[in-house]
Amino acid sequence: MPPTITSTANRNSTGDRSRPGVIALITEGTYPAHQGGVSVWCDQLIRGLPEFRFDVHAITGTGLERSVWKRPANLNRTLLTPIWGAMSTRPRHRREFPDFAAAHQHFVAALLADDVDLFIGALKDLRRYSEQHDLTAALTSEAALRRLHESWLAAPDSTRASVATHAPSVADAVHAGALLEHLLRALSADVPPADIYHASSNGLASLIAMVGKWKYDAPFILTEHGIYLRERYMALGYRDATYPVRMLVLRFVRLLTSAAYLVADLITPGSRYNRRWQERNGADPAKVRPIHNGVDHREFPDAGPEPAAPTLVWVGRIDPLKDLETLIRAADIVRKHIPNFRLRMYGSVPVGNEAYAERCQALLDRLDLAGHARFEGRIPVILDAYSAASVVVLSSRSEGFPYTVIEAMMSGRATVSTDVGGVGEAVGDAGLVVPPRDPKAFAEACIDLLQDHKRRYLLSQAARVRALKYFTLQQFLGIYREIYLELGATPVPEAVLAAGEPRDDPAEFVGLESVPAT
Amino acid sequence: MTTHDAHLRAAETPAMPPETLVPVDAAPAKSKTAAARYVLTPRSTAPVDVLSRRLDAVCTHAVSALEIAAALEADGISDDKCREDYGYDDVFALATELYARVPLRTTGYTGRRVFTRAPGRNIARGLLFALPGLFYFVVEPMFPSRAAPVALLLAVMAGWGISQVMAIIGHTLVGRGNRSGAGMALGLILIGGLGLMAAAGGLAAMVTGWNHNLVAACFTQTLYIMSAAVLLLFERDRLLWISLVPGVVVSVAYLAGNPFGLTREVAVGAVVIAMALTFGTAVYTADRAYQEGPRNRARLGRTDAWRTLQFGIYGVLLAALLAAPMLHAAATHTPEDSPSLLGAAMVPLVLSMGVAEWQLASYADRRNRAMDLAPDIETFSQAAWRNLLIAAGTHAAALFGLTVVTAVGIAVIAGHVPTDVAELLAAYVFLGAAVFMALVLTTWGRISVVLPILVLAVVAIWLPALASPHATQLMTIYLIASAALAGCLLALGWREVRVVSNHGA
Repeated sequence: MPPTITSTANRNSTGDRSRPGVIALITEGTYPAHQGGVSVWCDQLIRGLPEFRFDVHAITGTGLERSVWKRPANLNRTLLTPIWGAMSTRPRHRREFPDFAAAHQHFVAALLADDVDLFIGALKDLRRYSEQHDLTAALTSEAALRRLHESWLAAPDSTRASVATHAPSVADAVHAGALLEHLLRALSADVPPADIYHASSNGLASLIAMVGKWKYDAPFILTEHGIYLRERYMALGYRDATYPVRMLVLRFVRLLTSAAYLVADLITPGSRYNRRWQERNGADPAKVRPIHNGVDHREFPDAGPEPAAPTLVWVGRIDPLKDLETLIRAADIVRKHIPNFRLRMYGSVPVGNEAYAERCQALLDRLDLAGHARFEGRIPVILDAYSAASVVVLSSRSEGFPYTVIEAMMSGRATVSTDVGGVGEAVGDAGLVVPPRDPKAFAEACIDLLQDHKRRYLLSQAARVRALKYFTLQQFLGIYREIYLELGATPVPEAVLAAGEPRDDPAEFVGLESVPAT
Repeated sequence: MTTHDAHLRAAETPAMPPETLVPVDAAPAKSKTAAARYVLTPRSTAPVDVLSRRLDAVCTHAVSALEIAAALEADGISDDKCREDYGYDDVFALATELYARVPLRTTGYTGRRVFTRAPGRNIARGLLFALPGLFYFVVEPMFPSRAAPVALLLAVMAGWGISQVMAIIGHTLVGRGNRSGAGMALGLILIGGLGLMAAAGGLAAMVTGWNHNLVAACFTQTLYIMSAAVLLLFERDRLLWISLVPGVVVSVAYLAGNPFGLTREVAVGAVVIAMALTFGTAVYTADRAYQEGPRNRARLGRTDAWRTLQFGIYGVLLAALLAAPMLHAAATHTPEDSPSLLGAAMVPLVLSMGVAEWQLASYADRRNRAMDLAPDIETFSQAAWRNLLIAAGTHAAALFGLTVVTAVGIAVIAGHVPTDVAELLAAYVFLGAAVFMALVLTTWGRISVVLPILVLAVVAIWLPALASPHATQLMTIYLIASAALAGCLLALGWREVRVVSNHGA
């Protein structure tokens, strides 16, 4: 049974409150500056609910990013919060404000004590400070660094017996202080009023949503596609840092995600599988309501006849979490059994993943797979990729509820996927699922499907039936429409909607509005 | 497996589950010696032990059990598999067990950049900066006008400003992982600069009536400085050396008695070839960077633009400080204060810039070691100040030594060291020290503090020269101002070095 949505938002005695008539959708590293599953989800949500107006708060790297999506007509504005861009070069404060000293002490204590309730209080204090002063300057001040180091040295740590031998050095304090300052920049973001704050991921996006909730008493919805914390761990976050720095910064991430679970009014994971992590990390099961992604069946009709040569197709962004190395190693096994097989990989390389892309290409070259497998870049019409496939494959180490799989299913293609995140829920018995990071198992499943035409046909038909039954865009949008209304979002009056079909701006966004830290 | 093999493997995989190591006696091991008394028993084949060895890298470094849980899931272990194969309820329970049983074993910090990897290259850069000075003596007779040194020095000032701008743009983009964007931006600036120089050169020749060769030399020089900035940014020092070789070899042969009877045209031609090669290799290097990896656009924000402007001004101010006496000498040309001799006085400072780069790198490494080892911030601050004094002292000593050698050289060639040249040599020692401290302070992000001080120094030096160009005490003023600047920046360095937040780890 779906949970009852109970917002902690205060209403006045008449039961009404001032409604800006906008839903704030908050993203981190995705929409509208990047492609990818979460971005598709955001675009679907905004376009699919034309009766609501949206503000998008995008947490980005430098703030110089451009949109790669066409602007939907009901998108009010896009506000950027860069967290890695250049800091101001103005002189740093030598003396700190008393308000900051208390708030920062509170924050450091919460972090070292690993206490989520204290942590939430400290975030509120720091936010209050940032409304009046420059939080970045304060966090990089000499006093803040000294406080962090001294408290850290004095803090007993019970995480592991031998941690005492890893006392934080001055360098650790400087490094951790700098990383925390960047992560806390989202706290200083300008957050205009909204009916609802909807974070499209946990972590920093949730930080802005929490600010909105605290500031305006508005409800906060947390949607998690993957699990933010798990992905930080899996990316071996801050790998080049020392143990104490990794411990402190990853603890910050864990406390932040826990805090978001506690503060959110509704948690909507993209799959049931992800509930486990959320509940383990403090989410109240009564607030959790999994909502599967959906795709538009009109955009993904039956992909038609298969190509002449047995072809595996992979679609996605080139990213370590997609584990393309396993796919390439599997391809090496497949070609030994099916000499004329092809592997076509479609997707762009996000900034920062260049080294990974080079590593994959080097593996391809080393295995002498040039005649069988290749990277073909981003494909403009994704259905063309599925049309070019005999079997669509997904080799990820971590996923939420991947579009690639449900789009391929909707297009009537058999799939081979790794059993991660919500993949098993998506595929059901209408595709093959193998353990992740196992090239042999992956290859065997691919060989099996490529050689067994009848089985492939039956699975492809079952996949389309399953997708039409469970994963349509209309179902997905209907659930969110209901949630938004229940939480008090103000739709655009019907008369306005009836006056004309909103039309997309044909141009891409230009000059996204950058929001400097207050 | 032989016993020897077992020992080797034990050495390679120290994260063994506890039960595989059995102490010889019951006393707990308290030291390495005691630990060495452990003997090996066959490794456990229990599923959890095998798993812990397979996930050794994660288990020994994990900051929480949840990190191990993430690794387990990524390894294909589901809750069902946990129950069936390992006897635990789910991945979280199994991860908690692994977290508790595998001891923490961290390695030293590997992420820190070592700055002094190529001290030879750093030091050689001083020579690289100084060599093009030879070209001046080859082309100088082509410009009989008294305006020639002034024009060439103005070109140097412009070049320094532009090269600082280019360096900041390049470093900013490379620092953000956008090497191709840096290549694109710098390549475009170079090519655009070529067109702009040609147009501006024509205009300047028309307006000033200067000799066309002089105008061409000025703009070629600016373009050379820009090209060198690109090559050094991408650490293509060798290409710069190769580009300069023809010009340097011919110039040395021509100037040192001309044993091969080279004509001036040949010598000038070699210089032109060196300049063209430098420009060509710089464009090639920028293009190579652009072609590497995905081709990203070069985007900079307002803060970046402001910082770039600050560094452009910084470059012009430094050039203005260095060039002031040369310009003064050129404007009041007399046999006694020959610009050539004054120019020679600048050689030690330019050569010492290589030592400055080396010492900056050494200082960064020593500072980082101190940050790792100091038990508290006070101890670190003291160590940082000591290290800064060592770096500044080493640079100053090298500069002083080079100055003495130059003074002796001038005395041998000219018969004596003119007073103003001696004062200038001394002033350049102070100015060199000031430049070093300015470099240190800007690496700490204190450009906004350095700039006003440089402006004051420029005003102190230029104002008397402009007010009274023929005053005899100008070199003395220059000496005093340089010493004051060095002292001021050193004092600022003393204050800033103790601020730990200046030292990004």
